[in-house]
Amino acid sequence: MNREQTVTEGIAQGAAAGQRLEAEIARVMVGQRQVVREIVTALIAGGHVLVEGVPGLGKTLLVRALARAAGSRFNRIQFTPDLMPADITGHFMFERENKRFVVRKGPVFCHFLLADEINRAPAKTQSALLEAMQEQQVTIEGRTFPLERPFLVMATQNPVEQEGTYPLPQAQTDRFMFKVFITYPGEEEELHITRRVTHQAVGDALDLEAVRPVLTPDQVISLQETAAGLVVDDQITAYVVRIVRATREWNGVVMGAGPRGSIGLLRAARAMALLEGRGFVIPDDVKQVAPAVLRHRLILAADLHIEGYTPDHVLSELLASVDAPRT
Amino acid sequence: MDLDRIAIALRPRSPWEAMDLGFALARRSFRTLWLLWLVTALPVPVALLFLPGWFMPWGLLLTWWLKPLYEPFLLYWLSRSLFGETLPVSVVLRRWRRIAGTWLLPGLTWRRFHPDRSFLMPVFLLEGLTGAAGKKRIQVLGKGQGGAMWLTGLCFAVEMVLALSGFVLVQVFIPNELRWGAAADFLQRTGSIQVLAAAVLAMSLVGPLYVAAGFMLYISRRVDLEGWDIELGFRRMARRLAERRRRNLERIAALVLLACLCGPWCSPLRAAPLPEPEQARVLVQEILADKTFGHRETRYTWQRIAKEPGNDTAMGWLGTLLSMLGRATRSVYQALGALLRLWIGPLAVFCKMALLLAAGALLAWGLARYQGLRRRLPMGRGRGKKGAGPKVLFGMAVTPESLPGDIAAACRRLLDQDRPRQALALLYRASLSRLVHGHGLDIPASATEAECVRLVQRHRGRDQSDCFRLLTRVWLQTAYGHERPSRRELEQLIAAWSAGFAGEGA
Repeated sequence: MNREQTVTEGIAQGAAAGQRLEAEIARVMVGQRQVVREIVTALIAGGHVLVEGVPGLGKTLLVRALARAAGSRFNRIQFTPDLMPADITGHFMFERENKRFVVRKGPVFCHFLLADEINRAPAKTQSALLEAMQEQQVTIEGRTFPLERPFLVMATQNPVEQEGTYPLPQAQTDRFMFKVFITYPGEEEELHITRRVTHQAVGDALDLEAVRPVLTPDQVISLQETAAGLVVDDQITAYVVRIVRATREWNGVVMGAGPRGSIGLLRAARAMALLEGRGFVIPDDVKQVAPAVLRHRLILAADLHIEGYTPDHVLSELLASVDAPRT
Repeated sequence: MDLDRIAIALRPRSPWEAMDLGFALARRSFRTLWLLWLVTALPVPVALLFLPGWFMPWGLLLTWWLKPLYEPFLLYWLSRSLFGETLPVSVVLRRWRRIAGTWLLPGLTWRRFHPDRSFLMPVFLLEGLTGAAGKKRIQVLGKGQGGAMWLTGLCFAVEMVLALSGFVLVQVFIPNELRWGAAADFLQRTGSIQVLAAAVLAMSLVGPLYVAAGFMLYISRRVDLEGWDIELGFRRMARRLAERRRRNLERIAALVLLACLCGPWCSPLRAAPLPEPEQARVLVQEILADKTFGHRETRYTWQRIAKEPGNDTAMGWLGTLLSMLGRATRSVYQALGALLRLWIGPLAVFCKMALLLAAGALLAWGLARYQGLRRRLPMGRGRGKKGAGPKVLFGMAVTPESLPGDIAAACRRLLDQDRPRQALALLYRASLSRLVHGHGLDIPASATEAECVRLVQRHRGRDQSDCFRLLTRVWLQTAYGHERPSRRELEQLIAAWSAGFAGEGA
């Protein structure tokens, strides 16, 4: 078997694994296909996800299902105003029996972390998590602890209740690869959810028994590495940069995406190409992931906000105006 | 002119009452008047649509300038309608030569900016007076008449407000989504047409009211001067008296006839005997003694008594001085007043004319500059990239001229030269060229290959869409996957392309 065949097989396996992952999540997560696709894409691209949606739409369920399907460890932190950085990263404590300090690792040491309502904690606590996300390591009392791969943070924000919150600064939201909107399900889907959740069930506990582990953490890492090895033509890279630069020149956008946006867009496009079973990236991959990658990196002018425009409106127009590559 | 058939109550009216009556008349027949206005005026803006875009602001000015061309038809119809004759629109239009003949030249030239245009038009149009006779008539009718100028100013202001409101209303209701991309360009290109449409609509709404109010001012003035109401009153009185006389004669004839018939059986009529003077005197005394005649009443009222002369001198020399000063001041004011009365009329007319001219020039300038102003306004959102113009096409030369005549042969030649990628690129370019130039498919520069495939699937037949999908798949693998297509695969593609595209020509 030559190298080309190995690569082709790896891509086919990667695509199949991604599809299996999506199928497993879909066992408990009714509808929200786009959200599931974006979360799986983020996992393969090795990026973190900021989820925005009102409470009760299945954000926790989604991450727990993903963690279970990927055979990985899952932790959840409920962000509150009195949450301290050490509550996330961990701390040293004195062990009386052995008369020495030992490290008690925080919830950040896991594969999948759900940071619920991240904007309810002060900036100091937020930045502790965001540093871990960027560096993939945690420093406690001067000692550095690497985080185990794969490491995916899914932070949620409630767009409705903004009182007493600490909105994430732009520099921090930029560290999320994707911003995903979870919207209300359709009538049929809601009917289906209601029936399934209430059928012979007591209480609010999430039933994840239906989700089978289809991957291991090593296989997830392998998927990420396969995606990183896909062929990316120079025209695609130039297209990505053109889109990101256009966000800085667009009227009504006070601040556009930075180079981290270009990097995130290309990585996400690679993951999307792998999920589609292709060994190379095409412009459609870029276009498909661009809204989720760029929407939280744009700051719109006040008048656009007042008139009800959202970054998605701007991105839609922007993508329709940037020339696609023609090699 | 038969005053008996007039549709309004004749009586002296103030100019404001006359204008109000004109508005009421116009409202009552607004549909016909509006139709007449549109039939005569609409061809002008419609013809303007076929002229180049830069002419549009001047076209707007032209449409406005030609108002005296549209208004006579309305006046003619109103003048007939006032005396009970309702003419169809077609009849009015057929009489265009008679209607617009005497008025057209002065109306469109030296009387175009006359503030009393609505008042003057009936003199030329209905009385048919021109030259010195017309001028004399205008002097007689126009003396002491100031309503027409107010009417012109008022209608001008209302028309401006309506035109601007109409335009702004349309702008407000354009969804913000349409202010982006291609729709924004379309809106920008058609901006002058929107302004023209709003202005024509405003003119059409105000025009009938203006003409009717001016006509009523004219009628009211003639009622004042010629005493139409009195004449009509006398005519009615004469009719009433004639009727009474006729009835009296009939009664007398009937009585005479009755007397003749009853004479033989009746005793002769005798006059009652007159009373004696003494008896009559007593009778008169009795009547005067009655309370009705003999009642006496005394009433007291206040009466103003003039100041006695000599009181002015009570303050001595100071009073005399003040009195002298007062008289001198009064004389100065009286002289100034006489001077102003002499000049104030022409000066006021001159000032009003100058103001109207300035307003007209400002309006024309504003409309001419409007497009430029819109482009400079800082409301740049939704207009695409800052300073970026529309892109021509998407990077690849897809014009028919840039392609060889026989695509399939050229592709095979490239294959023979072991240049499969170039062969595939040529095939892909040729397909796009056929789709864009041959079938008029609108492929935006931002469309990706997969979006092109979807477009072709939507708009072309199955053969072509299948061929193009296959071609796109191989092209994507080659262009972005850096995979070398096999010769056999390319040969199949060329054959499929020849079957699907080659026969059509660009």
